[in-house]
Amino acid sequence: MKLKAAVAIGALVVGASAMQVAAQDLRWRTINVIVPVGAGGGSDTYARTILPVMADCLGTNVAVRNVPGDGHLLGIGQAHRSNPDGHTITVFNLPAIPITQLSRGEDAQVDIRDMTYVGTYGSSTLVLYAHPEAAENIDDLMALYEGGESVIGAQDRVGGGEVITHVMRDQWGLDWQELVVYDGGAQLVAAILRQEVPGGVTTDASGQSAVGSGQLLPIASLGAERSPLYPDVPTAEEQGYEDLSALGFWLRTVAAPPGMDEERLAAMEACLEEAVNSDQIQEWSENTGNPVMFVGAEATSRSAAEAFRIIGEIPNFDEIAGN
Amino acid sequence: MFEALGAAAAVTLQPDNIWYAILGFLIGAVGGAMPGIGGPLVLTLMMPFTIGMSPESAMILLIGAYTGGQYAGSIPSILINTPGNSSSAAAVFDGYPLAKQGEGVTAIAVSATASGIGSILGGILLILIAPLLMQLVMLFGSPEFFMLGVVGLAVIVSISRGSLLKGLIAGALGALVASIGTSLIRAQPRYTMGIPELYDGINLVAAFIGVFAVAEMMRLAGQRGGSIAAALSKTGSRIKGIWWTLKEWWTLLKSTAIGIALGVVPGEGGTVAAFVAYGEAKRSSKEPERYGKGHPGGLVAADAANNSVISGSLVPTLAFGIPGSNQAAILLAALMLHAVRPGPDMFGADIQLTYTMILAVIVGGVATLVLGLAFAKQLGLLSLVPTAILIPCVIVVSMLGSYVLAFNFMLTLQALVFGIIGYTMIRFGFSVVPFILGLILGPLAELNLSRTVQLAGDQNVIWFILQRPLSMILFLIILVLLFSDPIKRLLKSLRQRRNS
Repeated sequence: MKLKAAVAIGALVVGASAMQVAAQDLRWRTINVIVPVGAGGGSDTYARTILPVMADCLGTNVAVRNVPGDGHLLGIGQAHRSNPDGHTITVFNLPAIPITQLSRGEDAQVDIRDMTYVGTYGSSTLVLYAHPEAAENIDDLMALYEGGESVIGAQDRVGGGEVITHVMRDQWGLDWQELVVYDGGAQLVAAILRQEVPGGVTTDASGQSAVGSGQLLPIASLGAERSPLYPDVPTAEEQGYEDLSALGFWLRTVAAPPGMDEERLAAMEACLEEAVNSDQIQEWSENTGNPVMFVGAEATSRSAAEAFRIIGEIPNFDEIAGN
Repeated sequence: MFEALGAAAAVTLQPDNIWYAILGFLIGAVGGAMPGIGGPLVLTLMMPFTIGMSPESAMILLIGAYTGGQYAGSIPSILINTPGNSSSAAAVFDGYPLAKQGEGVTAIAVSATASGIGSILGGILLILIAPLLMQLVMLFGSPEFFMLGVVGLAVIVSISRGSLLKGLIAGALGALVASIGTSLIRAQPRYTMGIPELYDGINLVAAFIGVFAVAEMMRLAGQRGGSIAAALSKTGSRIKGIWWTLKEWWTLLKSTAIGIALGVVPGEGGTVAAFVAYGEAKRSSKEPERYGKGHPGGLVAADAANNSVISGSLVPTLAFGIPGSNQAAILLAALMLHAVRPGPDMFGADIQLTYTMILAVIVGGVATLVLGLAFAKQLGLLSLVPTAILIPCVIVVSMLGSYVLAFNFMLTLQALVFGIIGYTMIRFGFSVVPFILGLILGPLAELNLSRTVQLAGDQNVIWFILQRPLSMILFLIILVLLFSDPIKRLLKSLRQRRNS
């Protein structure tokens, strides 16, 4: 790991242009990108937009393949078992996928801890939303549940949304009784709009349109910093509640099979950084509201390990996972 | 309103945009006609090519592809008993029997006319009542979704061919098979036998390919020679198809209304719409016994609803950023790619772009009518291909189609298993239609019943459901579906007794 880190840091120091020459010296074939979700969603859009620019920097192109199934683990598993020659990579979110993997226990078909992390190219901040008639801040929501309200919404079963909602109960004392699970962020937002549930957690982008309508209120950013989409909405910590950013700030990561050649990893990492910082991707990010950010291989690998540690410490995780 | 509509019309009717609409329609139609490829994948692949276009042109191109895919999904339903996508499944029921009777061209003409008129009327209706539809989106909560699932299951009673008991058994079996996978309620795997590929449950499109295409090819293989069409000299006619559709004008109007109303319901509505429209057409028909055996009304209902869903699905997508269908989810991503943020302004300050999108649906409807009818004859000839050639071709396309759904042989295996299930059902006189309905609607009803029980808390669940106005309306619809036929039969026998 130390050697990998040293190489990664070294690669950053050398600089992007030099790396581009080196990358081309490595002779890249078409890079197969396995997207472990169906076509059209956020993960697919990010991969199809940013990774071709990365491949262009490497002097090659990408072939994107959607392999949905088993809560993303099917596609990631295929990438995990591929040849670690840099020509197969996959994309997934932290800490959502560690949650899925740990919930499967020994039945999980892949262990993402030993994957080769290329880096992070995007992020999403989880936001606690409420109906405007229900609450304007976390204090209001706490009072609502103390007053007898029992239900809260979640965007997924045994995913980042559900787990953080349980942690809010354990650590903040948000006293909900029934967690109603919906099929994704959009469906959760719809449920809040029609006041079926008073609130729930989903990503900042999922609620953006409904917030614009005035019928949905973002009441707290669950990341360490405010969401760039809602700069006026304070974080949970700013409102005096325990920081949950380890679970509330999602990283969109790029990973390769375990044991990838370090030279190729360094070249790919540098080109991912160049792609994220390119005018084309920055403009796309600005136009669409999809945040992009680059985090290097070593830091991303550390984030993955940290995600596993934090999830492992959630006291009733087995109960949440239905085990 | 009229000013914005006029400006939108001026944009839509620009020669460039008309070409985009036609190009989109053709690309969508080619993809939509291939089982396993389907509309959503085609739209996703097209999306990056719209970068650099104006938002209006991009939407016109993509909506053209949406309408093309939606229409063309019915072509394999009619010709080879295989729906191109899940919402085209209801077109199989009467489309394929028509092709077998030597009316392949007629059936495609019926499908093109009903689809085209469904899109056009759906678009016009949307322009007129969009604000009302926005209210409808908010009325559909978990109890209403549950009742909608039950409405769909009640349709089994009216569309079962032959024995009602067999229909109910097939429906229950479908719902049971649908429960395979990780339960969304308790997160536990059910009937997965430790196979990771089953954790996400049964893939609906693979199941359709199996139950319809593989099973039918197995049945055809058991017959000697010939082709799908019983009468080799006949393929039907376009004029007849148009005339048959127009004769079913009331079914056309009703099904369009059902399509647009259920298209508005986020997520699940579109799939249910064609089945509900089909069930209603059969229930209210004077000759229900002909449904499922090649009644044009069945095809008109399925295709009109399937295409008017497009307009309905735009409402929650544009107003709240909540997609009404898979294709609408991709339109949403494309809008954001072009820096357009959906929200209520789409029905206020930005209404011109919304009108442009609705007019694109109408242009797509016109393209369906013109191009669908123009190529009906050539497509209809496919039903004359000898079965010795057709069977291996369809099996290869089916296996390939099921594989490309997720590039996973497990889905090919699923299609084969469902082929055997479908063939067994056909051999023993079970209709596969209730099985498919159970498969689609079982999870919808189960999940939303579970949510409803959670939401009801200490209240009585039945009372919690029935005190909601829309749930009550859906409950009354269920009663009509379940009991109108027996009551009609009872009244008829009473009348006969009195007369005798």
